[in-house]
Amino acid sequence: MNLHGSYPTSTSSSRENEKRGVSGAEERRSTHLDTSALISSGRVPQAPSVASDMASEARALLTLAALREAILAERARAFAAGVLAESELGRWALAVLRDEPCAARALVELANAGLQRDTVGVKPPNNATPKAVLANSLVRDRLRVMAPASARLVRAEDGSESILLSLEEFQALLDAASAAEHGIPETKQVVAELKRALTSSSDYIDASTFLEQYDALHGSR
Amino acid sequence: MPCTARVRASLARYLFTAPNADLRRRIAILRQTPFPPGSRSLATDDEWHGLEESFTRHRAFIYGTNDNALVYTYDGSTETLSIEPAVVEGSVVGHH
Repeated sequence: MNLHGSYPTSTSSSRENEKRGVSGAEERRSTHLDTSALISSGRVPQAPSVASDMASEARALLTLAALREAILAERARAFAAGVLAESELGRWALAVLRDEPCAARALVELANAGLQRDTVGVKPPNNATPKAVLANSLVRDRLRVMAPASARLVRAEDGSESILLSLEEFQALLDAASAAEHGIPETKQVVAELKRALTSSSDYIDASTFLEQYDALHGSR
Repeated sequence: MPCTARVRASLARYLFTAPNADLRRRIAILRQTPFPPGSRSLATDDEWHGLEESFTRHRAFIYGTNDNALVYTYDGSTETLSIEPAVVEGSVVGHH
C-alpha cells in the first residue's frame, strides 16, 4: 500500500507510483527492513501480551512510509485488523467485515453500542422518536431476514441502503439475535464446571500437540 | 510474542474419542488468536463474577455457539491460555 502517493507534496512520478501500487507481486526496493515478512490473518495480534508486537509493527510501517517504500496490502490489512482486534467493539467489527457466521449478531452488538454511545453522550437526540439506523450493507440481506416487516429501507443518494428501525424494533432484533442459534449458551452450568476444573488437577497438553494427535486420529476435520 | 495455548487433558481425551470438527477448528483459532471475534468475556457474568476473587489471575471467556463452544481462561501473568471444558449441544463435556 502506497502511503504517500496521494500526498500533494509527493515527488514520486506517477510511473513510480504505478510500480508501488497495492499488489503482492510488485517489486520492492531493497531495504534493511524485512518488508516481505507477511503477517497472516491467523497471527493478528490481539492479546495484551503482543501489544509490543503491534507497536513494533506500527514503527516499522511508519518507517516504511517515511522511506516511501511499498507496503504489501496484506501486511497493511493485517495491521488494521490487529488494531481493530484490540477492542471488543473492534472484534465485533472484524466479525462483520469477515462475514463470519456470527456477523449478524456482531452487527447488532455494534449497532447497540453505537446507540448506547449516542444515548449517554452529550448530544441530545435530534428527534423525539428514537430510532436506529443499521447501515452496514455487507450484512443488509441477512438483517432483512431478521428485521420486522415494518422496517423501512432508506436509500442514500449514492445508492447504498440502510434499514431504519424504531427503538422497540431494534430491541426485538437484538433479543432475537441473542436467542439465535449463533448465540452464546447459558453460562450457569458452564461456570460451575469451569470452577470445578480450575480447582481440580491441572493436567493439560499443548494445543499444538493436541491438534497433531487429533489430526492423526481423525484428520483435520 | 504469542501466548502459550493448552488444552485440558480431559477435554483432549473426550475429543479424541468423540471428534468434533467445529471444536477442533476453534482450538486451532485460539492457538493463533487468543481473543477471536465471537469470543465473549465472562467478566460480566454473575456466576463468574462471584468466583473472580478466587481466581484473580484468570480472565474467563466462552467462544462458540449453543451447539459448540469452548470455555477458556487467560492468565496474563504467565500469558497462558487454557482451554477448559467445552459445550456440545448444550451440555458441558470434557471436564472429567
